[in-house]
Amino acid sequence: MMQAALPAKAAARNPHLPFGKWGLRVSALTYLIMMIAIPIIVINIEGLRGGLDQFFADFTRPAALSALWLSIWTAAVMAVINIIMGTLTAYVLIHYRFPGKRLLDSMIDLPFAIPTLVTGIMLVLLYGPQTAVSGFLDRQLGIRILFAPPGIILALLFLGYPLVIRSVQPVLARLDTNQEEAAYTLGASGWLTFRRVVLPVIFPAMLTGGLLSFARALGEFGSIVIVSGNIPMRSQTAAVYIFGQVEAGNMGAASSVSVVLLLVSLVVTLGVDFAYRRKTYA
Amino acid sequence: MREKPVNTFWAWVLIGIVLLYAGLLLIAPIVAVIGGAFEKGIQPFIEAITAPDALLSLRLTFLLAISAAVINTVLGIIVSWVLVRHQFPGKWFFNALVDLPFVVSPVIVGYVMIVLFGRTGWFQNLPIQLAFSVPGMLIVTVFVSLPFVIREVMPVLASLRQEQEEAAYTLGASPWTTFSRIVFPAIRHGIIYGVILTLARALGEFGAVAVIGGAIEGATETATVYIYRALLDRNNIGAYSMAIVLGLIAVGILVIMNRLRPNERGH
Amino acid sequence: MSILLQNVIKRYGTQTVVQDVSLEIEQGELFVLLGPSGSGKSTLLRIIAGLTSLDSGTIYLNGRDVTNLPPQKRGTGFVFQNYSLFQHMTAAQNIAFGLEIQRVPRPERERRVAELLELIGLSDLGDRMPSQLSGGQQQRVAVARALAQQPDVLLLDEHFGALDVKIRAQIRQNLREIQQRLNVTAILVTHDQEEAFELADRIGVIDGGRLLEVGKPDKLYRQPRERFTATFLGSTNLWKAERNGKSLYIGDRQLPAPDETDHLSGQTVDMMTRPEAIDLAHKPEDLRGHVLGQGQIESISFAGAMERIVVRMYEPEQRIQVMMNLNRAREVGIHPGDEVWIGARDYYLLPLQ
Repeated sequence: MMQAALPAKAAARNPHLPFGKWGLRVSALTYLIMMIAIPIIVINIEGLRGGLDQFFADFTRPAALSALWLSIWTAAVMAVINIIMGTLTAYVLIHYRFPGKRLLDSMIDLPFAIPTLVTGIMLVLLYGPQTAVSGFLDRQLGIRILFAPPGIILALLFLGYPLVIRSVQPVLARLDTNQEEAAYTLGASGWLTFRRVVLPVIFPAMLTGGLLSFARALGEFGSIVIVSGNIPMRSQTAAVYIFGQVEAGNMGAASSVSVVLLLVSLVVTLGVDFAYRRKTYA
Repeated sequence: MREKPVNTFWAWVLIGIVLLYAGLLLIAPIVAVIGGAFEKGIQPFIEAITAPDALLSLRLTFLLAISAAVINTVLGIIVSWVLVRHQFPGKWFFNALVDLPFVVSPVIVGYVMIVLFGRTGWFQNLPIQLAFSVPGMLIVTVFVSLPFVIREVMPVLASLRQEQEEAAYTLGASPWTTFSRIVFPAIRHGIIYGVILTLARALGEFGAVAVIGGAIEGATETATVYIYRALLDRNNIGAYSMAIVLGLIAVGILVIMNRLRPNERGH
Repeated sequence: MSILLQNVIKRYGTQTVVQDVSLEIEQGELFVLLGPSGSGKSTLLRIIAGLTSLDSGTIYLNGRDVTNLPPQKRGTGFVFQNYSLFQHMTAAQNIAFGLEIQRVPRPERERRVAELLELIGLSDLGDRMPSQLSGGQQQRVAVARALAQQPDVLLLDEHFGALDVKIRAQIRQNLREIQQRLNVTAILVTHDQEEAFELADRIGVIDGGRLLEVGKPDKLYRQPRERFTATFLGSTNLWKAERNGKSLYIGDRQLPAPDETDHLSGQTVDMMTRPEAIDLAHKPEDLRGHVLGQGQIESISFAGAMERIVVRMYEPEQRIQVMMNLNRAREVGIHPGDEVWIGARDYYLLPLQ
């Protein structure tokens, strides 16, 4: 999604729209501000309402900290796996012909289309305690998928899969194949060529996609609520924690954790957008 | 010819890894859901789906999704236009704002609404009740599905040379005519694709509408909230059946998306 | 010899793109593969490099059978049509890349890169990125990169295409010098026949996947064996003639037949005359050469050292291309629309097809 960076220098050469220009601008910006900036501001104000002390007290509660930490580390693990597998998938889709390619390509966007709740249900049905798969994993390897971090990571992987792929694919598609062939004629093996010729070029896209999937995963709720079992201190993510606090009426706790979660997401997102802006205007 | 028709050994290894991963991640779950819903046969599935509260929840879901799509399309086109064709300081910031709904947790969105419009909220006594009501749910649905039209239209608009519009002006076309006759047809595909994505997102929204709607059965219960409640009530068949319905709609959306997708994938 | 191709065939689906091509190229030779677009010449080049597989046939480079070897192991240097420099590396890094692969130690590497930069005349520009170099400079870096590993064979794919005329001439010269200095066997693929003439030791004419003729440039120009070669290499004029006894007959016109064509007696042959060999005059007795017939001048255009004249001949009815030097043109006094007599100073009979 974030590869739609601003086009460089699209000059406003429209002398014909004196009213229209400002009317458009104002309505567009108002829409954005109302819908987005205000909520962000509100949450921050609410979170800090009781003062900084209260704020710290609220989000350093064990359950809150644990939830935040769970969200962050599962999202991070997911992002790393996703960058690798997403890039690999994009590479394979661009470079090779193989049976099942059309099917794979058309399924990539599935996570975008499916409601997150349904995702959670799918995973429960597939790996739930009653199935053979999970029984096997539990007995033989002591790994529990559902109601435990692995299940969370799995759900996040599902959701984030298209993000890295869609980010990397266009860059790979535009890359001149001849550069790779030139490397072959100079004696470079497939892996070396990938490392020295392809990777440097797609790395920014990989990173952008990965960070986007990270930020997206931090806030994920629908699938996690089903898959994680919601056990405080063990498998409760920040979003689920916030939900619980709102239901219970603990506004303070809900606000402070919201602020922290939001802060992390914002830093990641705006950071990437800022870096990207510099790249396109360079 | 970009693709190498002859695959080496290592190529097959890579392809195999990808297919395995994608298969487990994407395909297996779908198979599981279909199995789960029809576990006890078609009849219970049909019954579950045609239960009155189920149908009501579906109706609400569609209502919200379509309304949000309309709003986000009209305003989305305007925002895209301003972000692409206008220059002003801080433009990059507004551009970044557009991405935020994508990463902000839906729970936080719902919560903000409560803070603003709830019983003890900042704006308590508005003429229209926004908390625990459909209008409130509409607002959050618009929020979460906001970026899609904009993100699909912006690149198309950017690649459309301004000269075409300028040519139209020199021929006497008004701004509106230029837009509807020259610009709109060109960005039409981007818009449609963006609308599809918007609908998909809106249909699938859960966290925000659950929080702000209050999940009041029969009044503010969307299809997703229905599923959640069904699970809590141990009505597995009900939950899975609705999941299938939403899943099927999602697959339908996926098929349409594939037809319309801009061909940037290097084929 | 340096390169040997035997019966190379390549198909894409039902289309045969390279049809049974066999070719021998000597060490140190600059061989030009000349043909129109789609003739299969680039495919053939890529097959030699190992970038495209072949369906049958064998390839030997310096006595080694490389048919089944990947491009990494063939020892060929390849220069791509659009240079394909690594955009994220400097010019020097591009050139050094192949040496790094060969694990040449750094001091030696830097020395060689400096040497190559000097060879191509870009000693000061080693630290520039490809995007900061002009087309001509990029082309030279691409050549240097391919030469860094001292390959036995240098393969160049149509790579003068995107440059302006003046630069092209300069680079052609440069390339020739480098190739001869290093005594590296080279195959250049092009559709530009002027380029082929200037650079080639020998030319291979290819069309529709078939290698039609191979020979030295002037031989191919003056005495082609194939009709295609005759028309592709520069413009030419062709007539159908009857070879009988000691004469050639074009319609009713009689011309003396070249001796060595006795074996063609009784046959209908293609007679070819190059535009430079045609003369025009207002009276038949003023013609320099054998009389061919009469016609009307359609157009005259200035082509530097010559006038390019197009004449519509009456009998047989066809258009003739004439290149007349300026002095002769002034002497004869030609204008568009003039009725003229057409003569040929020399002509050549194509072998029966």
